Amino acid sequence: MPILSPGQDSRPMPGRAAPWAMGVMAAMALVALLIFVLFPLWTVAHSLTGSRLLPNGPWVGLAQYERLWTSERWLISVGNLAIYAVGLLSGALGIGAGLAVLLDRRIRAEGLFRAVLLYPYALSFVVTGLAWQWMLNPTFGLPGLALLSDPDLAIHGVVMAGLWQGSGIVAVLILSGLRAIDDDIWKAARLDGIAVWKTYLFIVFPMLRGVLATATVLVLASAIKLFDLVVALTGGGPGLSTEVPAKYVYDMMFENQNLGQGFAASTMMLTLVLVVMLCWAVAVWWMGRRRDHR
Amino acid sequence: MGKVTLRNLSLSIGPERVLDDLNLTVEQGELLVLLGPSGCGKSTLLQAIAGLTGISGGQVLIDGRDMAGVDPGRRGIGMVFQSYALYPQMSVRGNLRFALKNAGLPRAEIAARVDRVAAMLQLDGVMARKPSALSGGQRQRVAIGRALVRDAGLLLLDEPLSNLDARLRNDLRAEIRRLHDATGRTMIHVTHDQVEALGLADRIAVMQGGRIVQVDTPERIYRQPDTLFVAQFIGAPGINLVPGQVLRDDDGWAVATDLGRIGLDGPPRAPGQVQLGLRPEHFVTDTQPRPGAIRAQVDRVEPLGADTYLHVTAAAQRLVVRALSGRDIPAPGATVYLSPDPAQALLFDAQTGRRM
Amino acid sequence: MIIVEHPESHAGRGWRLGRVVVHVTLAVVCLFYLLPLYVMVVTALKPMAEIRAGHLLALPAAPTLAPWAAAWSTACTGLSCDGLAPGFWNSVRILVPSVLLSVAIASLNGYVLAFWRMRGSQVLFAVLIFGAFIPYQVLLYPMVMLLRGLGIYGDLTGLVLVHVLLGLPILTLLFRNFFAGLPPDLIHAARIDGAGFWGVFLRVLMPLSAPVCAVALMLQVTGIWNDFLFGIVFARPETYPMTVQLNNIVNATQGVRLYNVDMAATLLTGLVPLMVYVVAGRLFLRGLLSGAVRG
Repeated sequence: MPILSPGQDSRPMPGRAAPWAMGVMAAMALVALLIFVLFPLWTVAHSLTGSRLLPNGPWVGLAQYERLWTSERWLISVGNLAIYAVGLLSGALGIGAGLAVLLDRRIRAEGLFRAVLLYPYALSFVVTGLAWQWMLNPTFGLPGLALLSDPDLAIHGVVMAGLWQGSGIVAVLILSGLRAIDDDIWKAARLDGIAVWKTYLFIVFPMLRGVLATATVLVLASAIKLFDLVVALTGGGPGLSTEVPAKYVYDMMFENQNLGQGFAASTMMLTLVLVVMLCWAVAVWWMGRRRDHR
Repeated sequence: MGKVTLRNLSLSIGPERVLDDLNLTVEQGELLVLLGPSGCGKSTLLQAIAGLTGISGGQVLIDGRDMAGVDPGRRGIGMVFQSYALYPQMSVRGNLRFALKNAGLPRAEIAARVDRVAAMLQLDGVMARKPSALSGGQRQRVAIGRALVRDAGLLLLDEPLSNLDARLRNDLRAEIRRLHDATGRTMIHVTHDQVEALGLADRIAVMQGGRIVQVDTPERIYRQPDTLFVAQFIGAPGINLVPGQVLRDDDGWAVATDLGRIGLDGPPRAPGQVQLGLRPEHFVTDTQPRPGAIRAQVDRVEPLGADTYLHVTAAAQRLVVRALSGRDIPAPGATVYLSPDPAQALLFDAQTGRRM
Repeated sequence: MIIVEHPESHAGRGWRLGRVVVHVTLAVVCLFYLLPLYVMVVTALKPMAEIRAGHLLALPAAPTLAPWAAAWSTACTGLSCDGLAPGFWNSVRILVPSVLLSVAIASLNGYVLAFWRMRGSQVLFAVLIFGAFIPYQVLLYPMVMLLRGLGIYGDLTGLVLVHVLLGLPILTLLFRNFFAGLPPDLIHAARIDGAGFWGVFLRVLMPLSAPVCAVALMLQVTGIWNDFLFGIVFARPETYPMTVQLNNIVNATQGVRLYNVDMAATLLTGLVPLMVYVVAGRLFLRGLLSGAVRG
């Protein structure tokens, strides 16, 4: 996605503005290095210690990671994150694409429809979680939808709430991509007698690779952060059935006085994000290369 | 005010030499056109003079002062951009006075100068409008006005006419020349349009691949191009080039080509392989055979209003020649006889491309 | 019948049935999206007796505002019974300075990054992208130590600092991309006209930045108001933002749950971002659709 492209040329702007620019740049660089490079490195380094209440434990090598990957709660958390990420990604892209196509059909009151689809995105995950907790309440909630009291189904309730909040923004993103497509494409397809659905499937959506990649990254990034929704909706229960990695980290660091475990678990989250970003960078590079070849 | 001297000016971006050891003097009050194909470095050169891009070597001097480290706003220049680059959020008046406010001029002085420029460019009626509410020609005049209002001795114009339609382009070309003559400022005008260059310039500097290949008056650039490149770049339709061999026979110096023997006026500097250059108007075209004339077949007739050009084939060589006005224009398929004017023929060394 | 060709008429000419299906489908989907809001509103207007009778979707027979008053000023969190009000004011005191500071700093950063390129700016760019996607969990504890070192751990100032710092990457990239998309000649013209570093920024660029500022404001207002993680980690009970207070009221209470008060509290917390969305959402969407985010 274009947010990655670092601009046209690298010629400096000479002249009397340079000192100010350099000052701002230096300040920005210092802060960014401290927070986004040193802080994570510190956390990674201390994940190799046996720290409990304070980050001063002895060196224990990879013992925290051994304990992490044999902990039932962590394994459940990782599994839940996978379910949530897959559910949210396929759901949001599917629903988003469908809604975007419907909105793109020159409908009446498009603004109203768009507003309704997007308003949940403005809400806090806590609000969303509490609203759905009530909707899915086993006693008073929607009949037949008592997902949250069943350990096997509860995580799907979380996915449902997540989709309610996040699919609208994906729809609007895809819609913006559809709107950016030159109308001549549509005219050409109509002259060639291609059905509307075929035009979408074989011509338009392949042109939206960039937007779809952006949406994928945004959805995955928000999925990994999943925390407040679970805290508000289920508190991780019933039992451990809706625990997620971010909550594991928080509980270890600030509730269980087990900093070392928290650091190790957060390092695993960082690794996961890096892997996703790496895949994304490779995909962007690959798409760019294919474009250059044509 | 406004004399520009470039000494060994170079600019490299990565491995690429965008400007390569340029030397040029633009005299005070001169209108110099930088002409070249896109990518030849002409706009970059203008930015280097303005201080909008760094340079890798050499010097830019304005009025004899080295401009190294001098901010663009303090070089005593005005600049007009291809995209106009008007400040969209400011009215026409706001655009015109922005530079003067930055310079900290007194309010009354600013108003007087802005009004004077507005009157000169007939912008009085649109001073309160935003650029988005102006026509293309008006935007261009505001852009010119913004450059003029500072009373800078040097005006840089970066392809200012290329976004306008043909008619407006002609009008504004005349207007730029008129402004130049009226204000007496030094102007450096960048364009890729050779008609614009020929019609506007005191002198033209032709650029190719980051170098200046010839600086001369429009007349001399057209009649006596130093290199094959200049000869080919100037003139529409383009110059005819015929490969040949210089020889001397009983009738004097000549070039032996596929078209036959073409006589020369005087001795060339050296014998050898050459490219013979003949412009379309350097042929006499006849429908009847003449002694020494080249027999050719008309492929296509191109009437361009005042002149009509014939695209012809002679001995597998394609040529473009001007049909004489006042005579019958031959139809496609007809046979014509071409007599080149030896006095006008240009000879280029086939190896170096330099004129002999 | 003559069908007038609209330039964008690739979608639906004629074919009436199809258009009806499209509208009906959208309407049904919208009902699903509106359902939770409807349920929250009716629940918050019912007395507890009506709720216990079931009928989640029924309109309130005897509407009452008592749950709203309770949620605002008397609902209990297990620690205290002051309702949401303290959380609301904490959130306001966090929101205003955080939003203003982060937008001001990020726009300046984006400007420098877009136009004054210098050695190392590519590395910085990469670090910012990393910072925009980093899981905050790896920053939490070092940040706690930083705030402790500055003596503002648990204070509202500390929360403001955290929001400003961690919001910078995405906002800086947003502004950088917007500025980088402007024609370079505009900056050149301003430089020729004698505008310096601040002149270009304040007089030429910022007045053009309304669409991207709308997006940035919207992102920050909703993002900071809706934050839960930083609130729970970096605040103490007296400085809890509204979201944390809300979660405590609903989830940390013992004994009988007052669903109507819970829903009133939830709605009250959602009200600020919803209002911002209603008021500024149009601007936000325009900025979004005009490509301010896509760069």
